[in-house]
Amino acid sequence: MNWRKWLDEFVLAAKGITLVTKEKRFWFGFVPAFIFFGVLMNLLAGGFSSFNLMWATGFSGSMQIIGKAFIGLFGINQPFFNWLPVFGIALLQGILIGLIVFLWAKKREQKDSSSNSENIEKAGIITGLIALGAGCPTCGTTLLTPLLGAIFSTGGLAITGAISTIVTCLAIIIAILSLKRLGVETYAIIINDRFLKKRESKRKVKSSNEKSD
Amino acid sequence: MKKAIRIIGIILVTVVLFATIIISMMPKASEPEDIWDDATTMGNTNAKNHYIIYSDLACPYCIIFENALLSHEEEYQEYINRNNILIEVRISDFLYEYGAHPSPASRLGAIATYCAKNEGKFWDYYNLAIKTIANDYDHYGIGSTNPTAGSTTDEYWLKLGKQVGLGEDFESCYKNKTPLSEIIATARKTLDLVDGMPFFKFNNYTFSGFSPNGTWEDAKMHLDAGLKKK
Repeated sequence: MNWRKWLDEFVLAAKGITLVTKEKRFWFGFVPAFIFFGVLMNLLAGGFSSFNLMWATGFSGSMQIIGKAFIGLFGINQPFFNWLPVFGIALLQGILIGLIVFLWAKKREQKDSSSNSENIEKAGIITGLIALGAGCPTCGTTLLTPLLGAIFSTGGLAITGAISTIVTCLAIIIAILSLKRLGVETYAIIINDRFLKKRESKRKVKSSNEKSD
Repeated sequence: MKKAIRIIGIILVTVVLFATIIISMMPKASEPEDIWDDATTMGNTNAKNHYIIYSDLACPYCIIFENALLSHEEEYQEYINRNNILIEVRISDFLYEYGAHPSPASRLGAIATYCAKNEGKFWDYYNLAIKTIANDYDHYGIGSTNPTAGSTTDEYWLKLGKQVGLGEDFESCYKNKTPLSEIIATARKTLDLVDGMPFFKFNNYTFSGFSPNGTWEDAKMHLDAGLKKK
């Protein structure tokens, strides 16, 4: 494996992500994904109890719970070390969706027929894996527990901790690798766009000069 | 064609996965339950509402929930009396027996609490243990690792006993692990009834877990939900 090339790609991806923040289309994807995922992670932090409560309290109670999860995303009424992983994962997912939206719009603009479905699939898989591992694995209050309970019966609780750690790590690794790939692609597209625009403006200047001559 | 099959496959797996989770986590209606142990109840034993809390002293969300209630102790007491609620705590070493990482705190805490119960001081000891653990282990066990309270020593639990005025009988009960078989039997019974720790059955409203940042207001919302599910 060529580590140098691999690291260079990360640098390019970082540059791509920095550049894309100036694009409106990126924010159209980022903002809703960041909010949705952050609120979902906050709701799932205590296992399924928030959803049970929403089920039991009706509309006004549900709105109150969702509102609390929303403000919690910005660290309000949250201990720092509880807030940090939720914010970090929501940020990662937000950037990923933002990049997907940006690339999708660019490809449509350029009438590029290559599909974006693989990226969307990966983002979906990451969301699913992270959501499954959320909660308190040692207490058996993750979304994984009932699933493992259905397969392994009483032994499910004992393996929930290990599996949820593996699942969460796997999701973060896939997210980072996807971010690298999409970041590089974004960088190439933005730089290429800039080059084409520059060439176009040069050509315009040249042709106007020719006309005036 | 191949792509369509792949997409259908992914959708199917996702639907089955989430359906299994949602079905198993939906509130389960169940028959009214008998009291397991009068000594661990608070309120009128013939009360209209029966709230059961399955707890473990090594379970971080159990501590957060109970501490949220104790942070408004007077209001909580008044709430129980006003709404005619019987609170029953069913404590065991559930996480030691069945958890992912057997935490010594789970077993030691349960032994100490049962010894205190045998001396007629269950609530004094239990409430003090909750407050002390919540204070000593800030962000207690939040995350995928086991609670830091797993490192608690015998002295930790014995000191709490002294603080509530328990003497030699408590100490010898703790050292001899006298209530261990009772604790193991309770954990076994609990396993058949819960999805994880903590688990709550407030009348017919059941739920597992609690927000790691949960406050008295959050806990009260759950208490209110129980009153609606009679």
